[in-house]
Amino acid sequence: MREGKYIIDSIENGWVKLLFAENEEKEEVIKKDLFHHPIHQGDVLFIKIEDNQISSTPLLFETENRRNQAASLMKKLIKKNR
Amino acid sequence: MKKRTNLLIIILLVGLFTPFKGQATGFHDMSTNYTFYDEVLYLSSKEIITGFPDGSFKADQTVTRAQAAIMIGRALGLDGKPRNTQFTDVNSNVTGSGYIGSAVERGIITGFPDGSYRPNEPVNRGQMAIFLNRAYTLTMGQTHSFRDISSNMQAYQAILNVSATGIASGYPNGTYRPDQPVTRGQFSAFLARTLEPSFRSKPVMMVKFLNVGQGDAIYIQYPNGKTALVDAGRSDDAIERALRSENITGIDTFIATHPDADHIGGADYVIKNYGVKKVIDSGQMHTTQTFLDYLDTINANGIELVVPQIGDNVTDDANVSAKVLSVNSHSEDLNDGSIVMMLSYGLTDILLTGDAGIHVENNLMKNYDVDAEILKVSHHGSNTGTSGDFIEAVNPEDAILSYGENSYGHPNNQVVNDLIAYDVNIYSTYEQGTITVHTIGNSYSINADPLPWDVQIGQSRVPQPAPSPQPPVQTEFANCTDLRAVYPDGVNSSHPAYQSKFDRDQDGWACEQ
Repeated sequence: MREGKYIIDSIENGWVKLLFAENEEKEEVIKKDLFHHPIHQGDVLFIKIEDNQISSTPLLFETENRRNQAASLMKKLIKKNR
Repeated sequence: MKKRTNLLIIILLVGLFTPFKGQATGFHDMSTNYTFYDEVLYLSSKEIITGFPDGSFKADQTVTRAQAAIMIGRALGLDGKPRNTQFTDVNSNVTGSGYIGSAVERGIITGFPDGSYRPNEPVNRGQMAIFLNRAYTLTMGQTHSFRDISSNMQAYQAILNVSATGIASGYPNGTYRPDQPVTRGQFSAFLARTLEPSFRSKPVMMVKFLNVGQGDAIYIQYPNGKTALVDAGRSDDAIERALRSENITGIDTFIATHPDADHIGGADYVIKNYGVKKVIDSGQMHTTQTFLDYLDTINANGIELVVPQIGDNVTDDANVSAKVLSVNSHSEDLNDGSIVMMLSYGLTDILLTGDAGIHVENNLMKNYDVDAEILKVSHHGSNTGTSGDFIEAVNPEDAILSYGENSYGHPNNQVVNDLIAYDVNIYSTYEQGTITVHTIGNSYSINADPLPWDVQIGQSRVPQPAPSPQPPVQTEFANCTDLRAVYPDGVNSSHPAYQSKFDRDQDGWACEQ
């Protein structure tokens, strides 16, 4: 696993699928227990590896920005076709 | 079992409409294996065809214009008494003169500009279409054109009508061959289909569960030729490869069940490259670039996006229902917000579940008859869905598992065992590649054999859950001092932290003391 920015694609049965932000075709599946903060689908995180342990920092501002960007685009598309 | 019920219905229908199988046509040159045996028998029983005095039918002989007039005349109950006609070459001594005369009076047949009828000339497929159109009012269905007919042809509309009503179909290469002569057997089949709709061929719907690895992508070709793709796999490469291998070049509607990457990974590629005209989306949001690219592509290409409501029919063919049974744009879990769709054509129901979980399944069972012949197992066979109760309620004959190599242990052993316990045939895109279903409504076929249950129970065909990932190890170091702080003895060339620049003596061991 590389250090860097990841997005939580999905969480299933205690496993978290992370997409590597630089190339989302690369993914990592890791245990939910390894996170020491609440996580949700769509969260953008910065993952560091320290002392062989994952250290994750939620990027709240970027997560919010992306959510807003998606919502705005979806709203525009829906409105266009009404 | 539902399938048995279906089969019973089919048997009853066949029994009702073709009660002649097993009886003899009376023609010594026709076996029961003849393609149009039932149609010939049907017409024979109604004395519309009588064959030749020697007791033969000569099914492969070209039907003549006089014979066609006789058969249509008898079918319509016209006056067949021999008579002189307006045609220079049909007097009362010509076989069929009465029916030819009556058919002319009814406007069913006409002669040639020189005043002749040419009773012994063969009838071609274009003329056959014209005769049947004039003789009967054909109810129009969905029209389908052919590349070898054009609107300036006399038979153009008649051909569209016989095609739309299932009386005559074209050839696999998209042609109708209007000038090809019709045999007596073929003409019998066309006439029998005109008189008795149960003989008509029904257009086929094709559903392909594409092999896209760990993900979903389901291609639908409706009977009217329109196409849809439900989900687009994990990546551009995966969906492109799957579509190319099935020779699929165009998609009218793209349906995104939910925005997880293994369902929309190749969506932007499909929308850009396959002529998608409409997108149906669950309305759920994601923050991945994959999702943003998908929305951007829809926007950039001016494509219509529709978020359906529960109960909406999202079909592209009036003869097929694609009813949305569940969708939730505000679901806390994206899987549970999936578009769940019942695809129904005649008696064949195919339940497409996206990644919906057990909570959704419980609601579906409460609100709908979820009975279906084919179940696309939810979420690649995860135990987040496909409860035993749900399998019992759907009561599928066949179940499709769409998955690839994965770390989750999909499909889950319990799900597989439950399907087996309910006598469901299991198919796997991982094991068998793309699985194709053809249905004409009252029956369907699958292009593969079910996986052997004993093998599945033994789990040798079902991937085992991946081992738990080990705690991540540091693999990138600025120099040997940093590396040795973690690996005091250095690392060999198979270690992920190995770099050749740290292996100055090139002995396959980096940063050794």
